[in-house]
Amino acid sequence: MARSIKKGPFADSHLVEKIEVALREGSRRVVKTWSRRSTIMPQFVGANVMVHNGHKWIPIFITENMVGHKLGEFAPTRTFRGHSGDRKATKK
Amino acid sequence: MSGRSAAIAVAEVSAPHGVRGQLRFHLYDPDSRALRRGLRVELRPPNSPEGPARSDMSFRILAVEPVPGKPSVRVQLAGVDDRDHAERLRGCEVWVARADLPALAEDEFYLTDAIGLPVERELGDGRTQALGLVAGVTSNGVQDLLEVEWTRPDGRRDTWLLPVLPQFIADLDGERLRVDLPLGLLPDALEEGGEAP
Repeated sequence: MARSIKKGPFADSHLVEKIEVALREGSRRVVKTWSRRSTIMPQFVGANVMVHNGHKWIPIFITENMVGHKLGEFAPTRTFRGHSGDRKATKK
Repeated sequence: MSGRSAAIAVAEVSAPHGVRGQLRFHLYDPDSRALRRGLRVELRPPNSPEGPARSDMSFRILAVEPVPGKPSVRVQLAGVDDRDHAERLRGCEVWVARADLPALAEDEFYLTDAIGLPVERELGDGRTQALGLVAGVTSNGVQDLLEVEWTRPDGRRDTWLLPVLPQFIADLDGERLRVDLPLGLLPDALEEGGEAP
């Protein structure tokens, strides 16, 4: 059953606080969290978060299109070794 | 050390399609635009080492069409006219010559070129710190991650993950991958300035 809209999205308060402090100070420091259940809020955009998958820390750079999803959705718990194919990346 | 290979595996033959020799290719990069009409591709059994192209496994693409909703394309190859022949190609990797791939922008690189390279960063005092070797590519679902292998102080092999984002990748010159990382992304032993042999 979906969560009641009346309650609003859930995020652990300690995590919200840490991310807000990191973003306010403009520090690039990564926030480590076990709180996979926390919803990604609009104010998290731009933060570097490491979410634990039960085995190791998975780095996530939060972008606008992640808002509304849970942090745990971006920290898979099963090993995935992908093929790089012709996937490209950009450097600084 | 990874040398730049002359060809890149871009897809895998997932299944034959229909009775006229069409094939379904599963693209490694769902956004890939590498496969197009007229292109010559080479099919190799999976995990085969790179070697000279076999003439009987080199094909020209006659037609490509996307499979809606899937990271796949349907392809007709010249010389593959029946399902039996298509069935024999199942599981093969599809390799495209690097020269036939779309040109890269100046600041772009292929992730496959990073595999095997040593990772390092410049510390505040000007020293260069070795952070391990790129072992593979994985993903957190939305962003590509490079798996970097390093040896812990107790001698055990371990990995840490490097997000493939422009703010973290300072330079890649074919010899090494230079990174610029925020505090907290590295394992504690490396964060404190230790070397990854």
